[in-house]
Amino acid sequence: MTNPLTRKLARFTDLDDEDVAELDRLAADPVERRASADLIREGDRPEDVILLLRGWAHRYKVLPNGDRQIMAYLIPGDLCDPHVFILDRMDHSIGLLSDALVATIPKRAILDVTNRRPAIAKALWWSTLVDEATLRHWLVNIGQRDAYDRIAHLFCEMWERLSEIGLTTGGGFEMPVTQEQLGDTMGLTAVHVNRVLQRMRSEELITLKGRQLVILDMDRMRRVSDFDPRYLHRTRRR
Amino acid sequence: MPRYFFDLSDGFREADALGTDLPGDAHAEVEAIRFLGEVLKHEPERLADGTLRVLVHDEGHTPLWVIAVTSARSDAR
Repeated sequence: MTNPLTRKLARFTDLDDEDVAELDRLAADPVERRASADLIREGDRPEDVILLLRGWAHRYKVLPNGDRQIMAYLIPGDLCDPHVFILDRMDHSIGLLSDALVATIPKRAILDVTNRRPAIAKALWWSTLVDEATLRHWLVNIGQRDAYDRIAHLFCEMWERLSEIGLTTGGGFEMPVTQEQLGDTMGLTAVHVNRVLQRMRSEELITLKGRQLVILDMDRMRRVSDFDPRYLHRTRRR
Repeated sequence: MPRYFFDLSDGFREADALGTDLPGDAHAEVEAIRFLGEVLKHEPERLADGTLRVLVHDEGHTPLWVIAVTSARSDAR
């Protein structure tokens, strides 16, 4: 299996064999974790960096009344986060949405690799900037788009991100997110998410069987949600 | 968890074929109110004909709630 972190970073910069070997060392000794386990909780002191190798995770925050907001989906190749150990305490939690394979990278190993391998250091900066751009677009999405366009935009984005690491087949991909979690991500009731998904099905825009989502008409999905993948910054600067 | 169905109607009835599992009636009522609020926010034109309703029923098609919002010109104009 190709290391998904290598796959992701190689889109941004040319990695030589030694860079690839370093990234493989970071991903060594992964462990299986069960769905719904927390990788780190709000208030925890971050010591290590978690690398997701298989499965999905989410950044979330729970309010005093129990309401939950999901602020990001993490997919294979994502680090939570490259330099998180700089911080004193976590300001949110990261939990698994599916069974997963995760590697725990000691702070020292990250600092060491980024000191010795400038290409990797630069690529990690790139990935942090992409995460910030993604968050900005989620803010626009939740603040301004209606429910239908909002969900369409998220589907386009997840397809785009997953295709980068080889986890799409045609327009299809596995999306281990319940309708309630989708609602907590989009600021919508589960009922409204359900209504939008039924409409997308009846319009033959998607099929959804269990966790398997297929976008049947990518052009239309992008058009309705005004999706422009440039914010994912997958084109190298020349 | 029981399953609830949330049909939307502004004259034309948009039936909820699949329903949503929720912990119980109290939760379903709040969900229906919030759902109507979201539709009003995102599709205000749905109220142009006067009334937009959410009709909640259970799996046996027993109606549970009707939540409605009406827009009408004031007679005092």
